Amino acid sequence: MAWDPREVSTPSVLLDVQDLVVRFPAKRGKGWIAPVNHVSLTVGHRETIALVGESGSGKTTLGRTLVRLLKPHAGHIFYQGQDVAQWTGRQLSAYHRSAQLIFQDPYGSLNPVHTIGTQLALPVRLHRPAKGADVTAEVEALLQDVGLTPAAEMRDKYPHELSGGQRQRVAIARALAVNPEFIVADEPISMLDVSIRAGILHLLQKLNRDLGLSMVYITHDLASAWYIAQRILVMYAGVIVEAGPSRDVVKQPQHPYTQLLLAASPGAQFSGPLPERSTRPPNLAIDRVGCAFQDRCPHVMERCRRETPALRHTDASREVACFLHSD
Amino acid sequence: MSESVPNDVVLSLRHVTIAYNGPPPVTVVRDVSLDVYSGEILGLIGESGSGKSTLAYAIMRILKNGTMTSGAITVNGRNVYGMSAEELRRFRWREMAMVFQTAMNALNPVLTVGEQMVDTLQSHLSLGRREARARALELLSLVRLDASVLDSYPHELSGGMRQRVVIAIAIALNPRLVIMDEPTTGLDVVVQRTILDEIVDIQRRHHYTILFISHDFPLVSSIADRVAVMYAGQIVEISEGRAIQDVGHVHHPYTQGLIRAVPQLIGDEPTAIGIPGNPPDPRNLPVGCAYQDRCPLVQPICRREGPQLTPVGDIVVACHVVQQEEANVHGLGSS
Ligand SMILES: Nc1ncnc2c1ncn2[C@@H]1O[C@H](COP(=O)(O)OP(=O)(O)OP(=O)(O)O)[C@@H](O)[C@H]1O
Ligand SMILES: Nc1ncnc2c1ncn2[C@@H]1O[C@H](COP(=O)(O)OP(=O)(O)OP(=O)(O)O)[C@@H](O)[C@H]1O
Ligand SMILES: [Mg+2]
Ligand SMILES: [Mg+2]
Repeated sequence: MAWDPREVSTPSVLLDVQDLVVRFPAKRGKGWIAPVNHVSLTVGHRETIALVGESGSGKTTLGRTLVRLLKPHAGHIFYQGQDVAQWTGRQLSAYHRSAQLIFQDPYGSLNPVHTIGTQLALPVRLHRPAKGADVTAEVEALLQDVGLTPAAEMRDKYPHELSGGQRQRVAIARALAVNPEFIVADEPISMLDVSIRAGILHLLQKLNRDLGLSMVYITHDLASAWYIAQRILVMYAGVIVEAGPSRDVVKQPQHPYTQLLLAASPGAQFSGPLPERSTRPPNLAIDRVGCAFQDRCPHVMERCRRETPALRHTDASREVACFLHSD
Repeated sequence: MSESVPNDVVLSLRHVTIAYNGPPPVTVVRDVSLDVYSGEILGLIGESGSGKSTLAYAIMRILKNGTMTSGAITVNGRNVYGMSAEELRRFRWREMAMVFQTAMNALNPVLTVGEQMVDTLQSHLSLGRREARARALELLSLVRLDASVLDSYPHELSGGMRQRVVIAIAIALNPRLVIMDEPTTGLDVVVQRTILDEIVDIQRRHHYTILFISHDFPLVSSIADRVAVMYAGQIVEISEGRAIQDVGHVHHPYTQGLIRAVPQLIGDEPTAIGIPGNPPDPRNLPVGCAYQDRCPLVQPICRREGPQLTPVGDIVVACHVVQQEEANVHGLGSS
C-alpha cells in the first residue's frame, strides 16, 4: 500500500516551490497571520495549474509571491533551478521579465490617460529589442494575439472606450509585452460578465498552447479551473488542502472543504441548503494548532484539533491533507 | 402556501424610461413595464451596464444625475413620484428598502454595528435604546449572526458578515418590498450560497417581496420565482424561475446564450461557452433590436423594427424570431 512518489514521472518542472511562508502582522493583538503557511507546489513547463479557494485563504498573496511582488518570510521558489525567493535589485528585475501577473480588476489596472498603444509600447521598448516602427508592429502583433482587432484601430483607443472584456484583454497584452514564460492570472474573469468570460478563458488557453506559457490561474470558481487547468490545487486558510488532476478533484473531491465548495458551486448537481452555515472567516494565525478546516468540518475528530494533517498522496497523482484519507 | 392575498401587486412599473443628464442626455432604461407580486422573489438579470441599478434607484427615487423622463412607479399602490419629501422619507425603509450593490462598504466605519442599527431603528420608530437594541439582536439572529457582532466595528467582520448586517438593516422596519442589488457579488462562492439560503429562508417566513438584481444567471435562477431579463435598458423576457434554467424551453436568444454560458460541473467535459461580441453602447444603439449584432437568429426585420414584449406560451418575450416561430407552429403565421 505504501506508494513512492519518486516513481512518478513529472513533466519538466519550471517552478518548484518548497515550504513557502508569507506572513503579516496580525491586525489585532500580537503575533502573525500566515496567508501562505508552508506551501509546496510545482508548475511544469507549459502547464496550467489552478489555485482555488475560499476568499481570504491566501491565493492572491501566494500568487504575488510567486511572481515576487512580495517577498516570502521563509521557503524557496526555484525557478528553472534558481532560488528567486530572496532576490532583489537587478536579479529581481530579470525575474520580473520572466514572470508576470494579470490582475483581477480590468478597470483599475490600466492608466486612463494613455491610449492602449502607448501603454503597450513602454514595456515593449524596455523588454523587447524593438525600435521605432518595429515597436508599432510589435504592439499590433500583441493586440492581435489577444484578439483585439483591428489592431491598428484598437491602438488609438483609451481605456474608457473599451468594454470590460476588452480591457481585460489589454491587461493580458501588457503582461505578454515582456515576453514572459510564466504568468499568474489572479481571477482574470471574476469581474466580467458571464457572457464574455468564456472569451478570456479561450484566450488564456490559446496563449498556453501557442506561446508555451506556464500559468497559475487563481479563482474561486471550480468550473473555470476545470476548464483551463491540468491540475487543481485547493487552498484553505493558507495551506493547500487538496491537489490533483482537475477532473478528479471536480468529480471526486476528497477534502471536506473541496466537497463544500463543489456543493456551493453553480452548475453542480447539488441543490438545497449547504451542509454548513458558518459565518467565521478562516483562522490564519501562524501558530494555529490542528487542521485549518476544523471549525467548519462536518467530520472533525479529536485528532484534527491537536495535529495538523500534512498534504499526503492518496494515489500517484492526488494529494489531500485530511486524516480521513491519510495518516 | 403563502397566506398573503395572492397576486396583489406590490411594485408596479409602467413604461419607465430613465435618462442620465448630459450633455447629451443618455437614455439607459427604455419603456420598462413590470409587476412584482406580493411575497414573490423577482430576479432581474442582465449584463453590466444594462440599467439594473438605475431602475432600482428610480424605484427608491434616489436617482442622482438622472431623471425618469416618462412612466410611473407605484409601490403598495402609492405613486412614488407623487409623494412629498417628508412622505417619501417615511415611506422608505418602512415600505421599501434597498440593499445597495456596494453594500460591503455601506456601513459607517467608525460606528459599531449595534450603534448603526439602533440609530436606524430609532430614527424611524419610537423605540427606547433598550428596545432598539433588543430588536437589533433579533434582526442579527435572523441573518444568523451572533450577539457579539453588535459590538464589532465593520472592519472586524468578514465580507460575508458585513453583507448579512446590511441585509438585517434593510429588513429592520419590516418593509414589504426589499430591493437587493447584487447582494452577494464579490463574495466567496460558499458564503454567497449561505447568504442566498438565508434570504430565501427569511423571505419564506416573513413574506417579503424581493426584487433581486444580479448579473449572475445561475444564482438568480436558483432563487427567483420569476426572472426578468434586461438587455440594453429594456426587458426582453419574463419567465418562471423553473423555465429559465431549461435551455429546451422557448427563450429570447440572449437568455439562451446565458443559459448555455453557465459553467457545468456535472458533464464529462468542462465547457466555456460565451456570447460573441459586446453589448451596444447606450449612446449609439442600432435601429431595431438591440441584440441584433450578437444574435445567431438575426433576420432582416430585426434591423428595422424593435420587437415588443409579447406572450409566447408561458413566457413573455421581445423577439421577432421567437414570436414568428410561435405563430407558425400555431398556424397563425403569415410570412
Ligand atoms: N499586505 C497585507 N498586510 C496584512 N494582511 C494582508 C496583506 N495582504 C493580505 N493580507 C491578509 O491575508 C489574508 C489572505 O488574503 P489574500 O488576498 O491572499 O486572499 P485571497 O485568497 O486572494 O482572497 P480573495 O478570494 O478574497 O481574493 C487576508 O486575511 C488578508 O487580509
Ligand atoms: N450617474 C451616472 N451618470 C451617467 N451615466 C450613468 C450613471 N450611472 C450609470 N450610468 C450609465 O448607465 C448605464 C446603466 O448603468 P447601471 O449602473 O444601471 O447598470 P447595471 O445594469 O446596474 O450594471 P452593473 O451590472 O455593472 O451594476 C451604463 O451605461 C452606465 O454607464
Ligand atoms: Mg485574491
Ligand atoms: Mg448595477
